[in-house]
Amino acid sequence: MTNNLLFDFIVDKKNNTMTIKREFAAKRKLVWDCYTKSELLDQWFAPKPLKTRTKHMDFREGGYWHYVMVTPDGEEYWGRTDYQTITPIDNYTALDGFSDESGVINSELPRSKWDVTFTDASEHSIVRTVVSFGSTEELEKVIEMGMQAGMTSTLERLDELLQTLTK
Amino acid sequence: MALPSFMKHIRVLEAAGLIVSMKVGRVRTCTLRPDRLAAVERWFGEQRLLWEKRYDNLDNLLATMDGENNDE
Repeated sequence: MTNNLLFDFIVDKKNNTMTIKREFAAKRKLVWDCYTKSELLDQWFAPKPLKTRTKHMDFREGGYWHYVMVTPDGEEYWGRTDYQTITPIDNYTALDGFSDESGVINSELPRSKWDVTFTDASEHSIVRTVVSFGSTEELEKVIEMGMQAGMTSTLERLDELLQTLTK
Repeated sequence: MALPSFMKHIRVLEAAGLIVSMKVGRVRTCTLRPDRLAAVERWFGEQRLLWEKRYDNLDNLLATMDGENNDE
């Protein structure tokens, strides 16, 4: 599927943030639902060929989403998103981090803060996600962990596949 | 650039693991750690890819949910 939907990915190394801005060919309410209902999140959150499965979802301030991303060979990456503020259907903020299967947050690893804003763009909508880390050291830790966990190699294989597809 | 602000820059780069520096007498020698730089660049590249793929999925999901958008 080719599309001309806006996609911006901006890295700000000085402030340890990345900003992802993306347009969707749907009304804001629908996109908001996809972000906040686990049965919908399960259908898109993990990049292919990984799959998402929700273990717990309580979308309210102080509640959390506990999920796993599973690779085709059964490797599991557990994550937990703790919701801090929610303003339907404009914005939510959350802390995203790694957890184990029982939902215990990995305290060794820093969590990133997500600030997600939904706006209208005529018949379309735009989602802007700012992912920020507390410090350069925190970001470094996450990068190191990512390389150890092998998530990277999964995505690299994906990258290779994409390159063969676009040739 | 004045020395104090230069040292501040050095400390930031060092804390990030992008360089190592060593002081012998009055001379401080800085060495780039290209492996580290490459790792950071790679990680951001992978994050970008992850978001692209994730949002491709979301496009597909939205298309199935909202009939009037299917004919685009």
